[in-house]
Amino acid sequence: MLKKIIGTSLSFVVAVAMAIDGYLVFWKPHETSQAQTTSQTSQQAQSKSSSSTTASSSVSSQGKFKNGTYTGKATSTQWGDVQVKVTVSGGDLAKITVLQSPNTNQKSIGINQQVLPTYKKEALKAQSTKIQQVSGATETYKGFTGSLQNALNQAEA
Amino acid sequence: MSKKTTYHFPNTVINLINIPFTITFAVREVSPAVEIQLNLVTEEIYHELQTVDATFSPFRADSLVRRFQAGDWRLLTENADFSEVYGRCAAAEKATQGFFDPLFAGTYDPTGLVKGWAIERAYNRHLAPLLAEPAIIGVALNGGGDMQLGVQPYQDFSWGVGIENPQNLQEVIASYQLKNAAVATSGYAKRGTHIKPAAVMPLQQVTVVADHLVDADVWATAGMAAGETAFKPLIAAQQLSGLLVTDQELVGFAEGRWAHAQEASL
Repeated sequence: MLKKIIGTSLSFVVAVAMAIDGYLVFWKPHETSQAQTTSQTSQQAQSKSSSSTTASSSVSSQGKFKNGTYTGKATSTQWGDVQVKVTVSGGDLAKITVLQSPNTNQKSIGINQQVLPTYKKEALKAQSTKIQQVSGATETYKGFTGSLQNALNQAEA
Repeated sequence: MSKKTTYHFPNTVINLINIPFTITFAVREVSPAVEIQLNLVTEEIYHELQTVDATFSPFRADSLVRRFQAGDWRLLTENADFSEVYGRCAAAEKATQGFFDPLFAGTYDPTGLVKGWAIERAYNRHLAPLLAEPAIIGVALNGGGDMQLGVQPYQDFSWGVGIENPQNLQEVIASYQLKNAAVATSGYAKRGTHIKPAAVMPLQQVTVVADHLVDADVWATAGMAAGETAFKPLIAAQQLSGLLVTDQELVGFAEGRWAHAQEASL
């Protein structure tokens, strides 16, 4: 048991060290570069450019986006890969297109297991139920205290 | 079958964006190690959801969504998350024949997709890996009634998911037993501002069960916007599974086909 605790706390310490290291290596420089680009942006905003930009490589001498197309990262979805494409003309946004590849191995949007609901309209009793989760239209938090889900959370902890 | 196993369901609740997010484990025994893990993962998920809110909230003046609305279109290619959500919204709008509409408010607002997307991603990043722990039999992330669920392979346990009665929020009207699945419910009673109601609306609530919460959520939202008549062909074409609640009846459907009501004890 003591071994386990020591092991767990050791690995936790290592994880924290890694996190700090990662923060210093990746995030910190990013933060400073962000600060730089922010000031750059505000300068451009003052110089009447309506489309200020942080991507210095794509900035022309006028401080505007170069004409052409820019694409975002592709994302795999149920309906195939999607990718956002921005077309710039005259240094400003001309068109947003969403490229969508057809989903070649289209599978049912359903689910990989048998799904038939059972029905019973009766008050749910938190202590004697086989239900742990409640699905309903999203409620405001105000209503949560008295909600079924809250009752289940309390009863089954 | 082996003898009946008793499960415990330690849980935590995060309140963010006016939505209660419940994180639940299914375990055979609540140990200090399990509790530590639950608290650690709750912290992680809290921070991740906070970042999503800061990025996508239409209510925060400094969010990327607001910047985009103000004309900063560079976000579309420069921010991976923003770009992904924009692309998903466009694909969802097309697949649902416009019933899911990120422009319903006249300006781009991905709120209707972001919650499901954020829950699914937080689940995949933080909860799913915990199923490798022998002690953690099941994990669930439920944000205001929309959830992503998982269970270790080769286990008897299933999550019991009750579907709320829109007429009486203290009742459930149906239930599912699910292992690895997502459930989303869309309805009137509450905060569904992302739903544009059809003229006549006997449809009160739509639940969709799918593998991924983004899909379940998009289709539940689209179903409410479409109404029963327009939604039924989409259910068949997309082979959806779920439950419609109209003012007259419950209509279950599984893989695009209508399921007959089965009265059973929960």
